[in-house]
Amino acid sequence: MRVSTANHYRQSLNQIMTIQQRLAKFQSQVATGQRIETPGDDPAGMALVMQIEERAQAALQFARNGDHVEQRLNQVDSLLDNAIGTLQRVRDLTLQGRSEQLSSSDRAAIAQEIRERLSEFVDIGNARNAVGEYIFSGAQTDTRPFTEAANGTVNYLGDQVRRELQISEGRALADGFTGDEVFMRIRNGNGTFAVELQAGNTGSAQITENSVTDIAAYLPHDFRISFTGPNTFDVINDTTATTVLAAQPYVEGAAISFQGISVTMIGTPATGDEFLVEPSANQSVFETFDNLVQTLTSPTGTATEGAVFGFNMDRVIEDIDQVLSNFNQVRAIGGARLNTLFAQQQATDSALLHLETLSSQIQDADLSEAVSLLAQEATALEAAQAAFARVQSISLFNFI
Amino acid sequence: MTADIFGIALSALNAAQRGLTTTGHNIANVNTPSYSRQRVDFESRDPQFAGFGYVGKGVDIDSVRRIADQFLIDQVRTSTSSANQSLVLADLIERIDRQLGDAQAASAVQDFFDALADVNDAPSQPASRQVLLESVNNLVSRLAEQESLLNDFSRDVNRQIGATVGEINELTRAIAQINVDITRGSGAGADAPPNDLLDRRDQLLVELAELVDVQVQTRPDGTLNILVGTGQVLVTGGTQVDLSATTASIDASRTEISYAFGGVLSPISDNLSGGRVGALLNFRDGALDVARNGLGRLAATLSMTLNEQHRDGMDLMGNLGGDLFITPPPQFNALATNTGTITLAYDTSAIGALEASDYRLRHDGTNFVLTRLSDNSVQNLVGAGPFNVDGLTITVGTAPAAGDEYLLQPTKLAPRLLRAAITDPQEIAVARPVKSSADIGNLSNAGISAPEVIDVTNGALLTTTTLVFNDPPTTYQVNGAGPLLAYTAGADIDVNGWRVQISGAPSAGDSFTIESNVGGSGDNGNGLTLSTLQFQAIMDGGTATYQEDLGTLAGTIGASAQQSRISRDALDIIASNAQIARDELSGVNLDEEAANLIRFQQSYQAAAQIVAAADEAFQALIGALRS
Repeated sequence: MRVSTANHYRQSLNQIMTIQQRLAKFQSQVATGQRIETPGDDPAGMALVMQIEERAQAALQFARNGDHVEQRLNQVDSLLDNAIGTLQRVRDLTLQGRSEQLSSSDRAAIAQEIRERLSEFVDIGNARNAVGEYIFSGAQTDTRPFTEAANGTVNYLGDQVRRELQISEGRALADGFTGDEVFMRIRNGNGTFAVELQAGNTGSAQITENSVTDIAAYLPHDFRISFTGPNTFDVINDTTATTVLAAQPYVEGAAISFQGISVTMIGTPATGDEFLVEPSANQSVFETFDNLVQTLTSPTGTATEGAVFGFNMDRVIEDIDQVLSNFNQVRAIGGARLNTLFAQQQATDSALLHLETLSSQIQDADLSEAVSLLAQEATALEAAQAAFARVQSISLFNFI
Repeated sequence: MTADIFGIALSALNAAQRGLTTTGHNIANVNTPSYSRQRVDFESRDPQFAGFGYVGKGVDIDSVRRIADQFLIDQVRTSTSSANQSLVLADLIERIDRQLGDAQAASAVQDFFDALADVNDAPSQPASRQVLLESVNNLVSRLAEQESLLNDFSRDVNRQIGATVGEINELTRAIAQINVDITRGSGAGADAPPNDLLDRRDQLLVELAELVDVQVQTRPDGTLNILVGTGQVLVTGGTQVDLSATTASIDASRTEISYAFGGVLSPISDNLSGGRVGALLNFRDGALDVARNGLGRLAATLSMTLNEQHRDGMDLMGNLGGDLFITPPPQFNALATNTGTITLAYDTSAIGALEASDYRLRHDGTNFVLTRLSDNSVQNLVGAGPFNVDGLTITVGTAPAAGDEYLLQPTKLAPRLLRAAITDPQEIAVARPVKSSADIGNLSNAGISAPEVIDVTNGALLTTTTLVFNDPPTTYQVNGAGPLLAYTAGADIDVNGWRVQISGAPSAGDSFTIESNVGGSGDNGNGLTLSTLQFQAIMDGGTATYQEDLGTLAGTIGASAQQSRISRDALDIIASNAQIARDELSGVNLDEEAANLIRFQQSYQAAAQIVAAADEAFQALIGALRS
């Protein structure tokens, strides 16, 4: 085989260039730690890496959303914790105010404190989150949800829209509660029905206990216990205009039972006195407070007034307990959401780790391999260069 | 006798000198491309019969010829053509591969959805809305930027095609000139080959082959014919024909290579291959089109689908959502000679069917024939239309005539023409337009779902509507009037363009209200739906999300880049093997020439010695005669 001089140069140079290309590749792999520089280096791998990065970005966003949900639910929880503390205090004051030994001025003082507690509640209801949104106004986050009118009634100006944040691809979690569900939509009475004294009763009888004994037999109808004589009463279903029980004898302290309902009365009813058993309606915490203040400032001079006072105080305690149970329920739901969130956060974290590993497997260079190949290529380059120089220095012309 | 010996000495001196000259010529041209080493062919002169036998008369120079093999030369030329095509193509694809590998568009899409998620986290926050607005603008400009870079490639390719056509013309002119010189040279020197002219022509042919693949025919007089494409003659003997760079009649953005035949220029680009021209055309009509149309399809789809969902929302000012983007209408070019007209629109009911391709629409006299250029699939559009094809609606205007032709480019220019429609952060409509509530006086715990918009164009969408349950609560009425509608827990209730579900057991008299969500600044109901689009397989016939589609696009271009690198390396080896094979035979070896130099030098010295010896003999004779 003849070797032409130009060819000899060209081939030697090509060899050196080829080694240099490989050297550059390994050098870049070692320097960047990455195997793929452009999609062309590994098209399928790169497409996968882009997808993985998209998933990872989204997972990071979900984690951020989750952090917001966590912060906000924690804020709600601590607000409710405050609210429950205040409510306990109110309940204690109510029990204290219930005592028949207190003078009307003592009660007025208690009423005054309760009014202050009421404004604490309004403040809690109007709390804002870190970004200045009203927490309890639903979607109307720029609207102060609770305003106290001159007459002491508190109106809810928010709505019932719940905001959810995406915490995973298929899961959104509400980041709070509306004022409606926390403060407004609270069942009064025992949660199923509520008892009332008919205004204008003249006797001293009052209902002391009430309960649902058979929920299956219960109907959400308006019932009326109507005294036809001092010791005789009828039970009338006003919704259907039918008499449920007729001419029953009244025994003080004995349970009156009908349609799954049981009420116990004490005191002396007068003929024409009426007692109402109605399905529980929604009653806001503010109404309950208002009722309490009204009751504490009502007269207790006569036996009838005393009975009304005692009955109303019992009702208020019942209602306060409903508020308490609602607050606790809301906290429980919040806790359950946080649990869901933590589970999801763990899943997100491990997914992120998995994605990172996957992405690194695809695009990261095997450093030890790259370094050893780099050294190998460098040696090869040195050898090629030395060989080139050596061979090229030999020429017949040197000897002429 | 002495005359003979002088004659022999002279012929030897002459021969050695020619040998030295040729060796020198070889050494001088050691680095000349396509140079074939030359050899002097010697032969002994015809002897003289002298009775006792033949007496030699010295040496003659038969010819100086180049050591060359036409087959090897042709191999170099043809392998150069394909090697250079793949070399240039690999470089070109590498450039867009690098650009798409940057994932600028994908990260702009991700930024948009990240910003949207932040707005969803706190929709009333002006700051996060501002960021979302900027991400919309950023998305628009990233897409435009990517398109502009790709368009720069396209323009550069066009410019290069023009320049290459100029180079081809210069080369063919030079070859035609050499053809002329060769006929003259050959004529002058009878059958002596004009070695250096041949080498130079071979080199010009290699240079031509680097630009475009040509067919070469040798004619009996030693001149060449050069043809391109499907037999368009560029050179025949001393005559040369120019190629021209022209603008495609249906697409001003496309430079074509045309050939003048009978005074009429007709494009021959489709028939050209090999060399730089082959690479440029292949790149422009292949990978570059794939990249541009892919990016364009994303821009158009993203714009339309996000707009559609955004319109279902309500903004901070209580208005129904507008568009986030101004979706550019699909573009098309018509031939100037067309009789009829068409209009082109996106088929919003089938956005997922949009293909990343240009189309050729031709009327054959009976029907429109639609050719999708990405895969050359052909489809007859029978009837009067409008035709819904691949996410497009083609509507025929003025009646067409046979030969009417359109080039539909529904996606290619979308990234360039896309604009942000939204300018005020408050116009971002992440809230639902309507909200639902259960009346506080309801006796039951029955709940109502958040309303879902099913027809945002319903004029009564925002009208306050109540659903009131009758006694017994097995039926309800809309606004407490009208027909008694049977209640099924959890069933869809569709009124005024919204849909709600009521769950649980409502009591008689329970009332639910659906009303405008004005002031719902904290609501993100529509924003959440908007953000789920990130994970919906919307594109490519409902198989890919936005970002997956971009990933696939990068992967497709990456695969082309990988493929082009592989063939570049393979063809480079073939070309360099052909070069080596040619050089093994024809290349100059300096050591060999050095040896020849010594050889001819010694021959020359020896021949000079003959003269000296003859002279000595002659002097001896003269001296003898004198004495």
